[in-house]
Amino acid sequence: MVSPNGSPPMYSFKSVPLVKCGTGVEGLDGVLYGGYPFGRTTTISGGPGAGKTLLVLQFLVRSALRGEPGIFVSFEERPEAIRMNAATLGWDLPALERKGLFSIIHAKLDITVVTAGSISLAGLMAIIGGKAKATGSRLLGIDAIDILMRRFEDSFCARDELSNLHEWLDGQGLTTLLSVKSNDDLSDPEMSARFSLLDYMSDCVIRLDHRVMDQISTRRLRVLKYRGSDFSSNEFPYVIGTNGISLIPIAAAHLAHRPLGEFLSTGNRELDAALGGGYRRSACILIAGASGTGKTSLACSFVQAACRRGEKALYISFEESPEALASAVLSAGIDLEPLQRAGNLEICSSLPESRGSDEHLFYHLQLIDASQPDCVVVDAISACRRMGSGKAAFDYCMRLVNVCKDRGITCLLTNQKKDTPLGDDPSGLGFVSLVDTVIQLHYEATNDELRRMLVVLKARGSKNSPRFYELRINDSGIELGSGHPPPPDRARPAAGGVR
Amino acid sequence: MSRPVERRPAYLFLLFVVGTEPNSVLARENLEHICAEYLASGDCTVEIVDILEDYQAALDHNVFVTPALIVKGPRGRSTIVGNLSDIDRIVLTLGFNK
Repeated sequence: MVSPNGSPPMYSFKSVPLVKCGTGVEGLDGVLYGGYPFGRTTTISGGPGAGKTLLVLQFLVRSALRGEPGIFVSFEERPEAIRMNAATLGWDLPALERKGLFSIIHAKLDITVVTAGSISLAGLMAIIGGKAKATGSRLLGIDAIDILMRRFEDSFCARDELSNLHEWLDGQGLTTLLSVKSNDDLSDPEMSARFSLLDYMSDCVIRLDHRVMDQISTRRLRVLKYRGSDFSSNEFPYVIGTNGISLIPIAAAHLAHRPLGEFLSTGNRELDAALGGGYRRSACILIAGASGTGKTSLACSFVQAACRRGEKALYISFEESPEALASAVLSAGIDLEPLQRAGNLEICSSLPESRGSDEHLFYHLQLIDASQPDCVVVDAISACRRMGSGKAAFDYCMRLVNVCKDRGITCLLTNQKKDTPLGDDPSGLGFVSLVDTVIQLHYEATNDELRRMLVVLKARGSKNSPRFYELRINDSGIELGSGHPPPPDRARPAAGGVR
Repeated sequence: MSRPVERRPAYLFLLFVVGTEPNSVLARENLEHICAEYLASGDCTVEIVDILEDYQAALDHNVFVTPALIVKGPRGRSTIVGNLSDIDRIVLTLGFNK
């Protein structure tokens, strides 16, 4: 190569893109902008129960299922225990082992050995090298390397050997995941110094954190560094579910909400008219009101109308079991049972405090993925506070609504609240800007009876009526009484919330 | 002239090394020296396993840290790791007397 002026160039430079390796973990490839660094070492650290072993195992198993063999070196768990744990996630390790796609090396260190002179990890390297050659493996997982590092009598030696091992792994071109207990769990500062080296020498460092906030366990993943690559440096919630580890999509960085679609019937003609035509497709609808004002009945009426159009609905109930819900709305003339039987309606009931908001969200997103509903009901978002805190409830609702809007799913939320001045945040969680339609229900006491009243506070993209309607619920269904114009003092509905 | 009494060696040494890695070379030399110094000829059998050539043998014997010396002797079985430079410790472990 000769430069234009005729003299030879000092050097020629070619940019080489970093090759990456799929992680086998839902959502993690996105965080790592492609995956683990190919042919290099990634360190995974974390406390007990964070899922370090699982992350390593998942990488190897998912790769094996694609036909790429790998080796799992375990310093801690016995092979039988590893196989059993994998089986609970539906991974048949013995089958992969028979096909030569997965090998376990149980590096059980004998604690009764006598040390007489300098030791090295050359033996371990020779074993890994031999096994890799014999099985054609290019992928390696080393679980609980800290157990090995404790065997060295002084930390200089430990660090030298660790660095030798790392160099050797790099030289072999093995794509390696190393798991190590996080420094916080190593109370001994001398011991933790041995491991901090891992963070410096690895090309990619991932920290797993398992903490308990407000009595609810939450798991967070963070990438500390990634040599030569971009990565998302935020903390990402993850869950350990029936398919292993999955990262939960964070409220989207990109806004890809679908525009509001056609009018959909609410299941009640008068309410459709009050809304200027009905709910809009892919809208987020909020029905707020005190206990017993008819929120669930209105939600079920919408679900029934949707199912009768042939659409699919997912009803997430935080308050009642599917049976209790179905029998409760029978008195409003709504029969959910045939809709469930026809496969149009799926009711999912769970106790808010049974899991953290991350896990609830993850589970519900899985249901949405599986059944592809046209509309989703959450009854009631006020119960979401019991997932831990107002922040947890907000996160859950915000992310669920975002996913629904991205996919064009109409999303109806109910919120149980005491009668408060109209215009007070009807979501109770401060995310009303995401809500397209707000219906507020309240009680009004007349001389001789208590009435349920309904008013449409907001209906984006349609001409709603400003009137107050009486909402009557009886066995023949839901009726809206003739509306009366808003009172001069619109700021306050009639007092007297009944609980 | 009577024939020397045939007897089984008292010690079986199985030394795991990795090629010509420095500690492995030292371990071989130290073991040779120990045998010459403390044991009568014919009292021990030495077998050397190079893990680069036979990794399965190392796996079978749980050898990950090297060099490693597995000893089968009158006191049973014991494992010593390291380049065997700490001769006092080995002598103590195996109960040799000069």
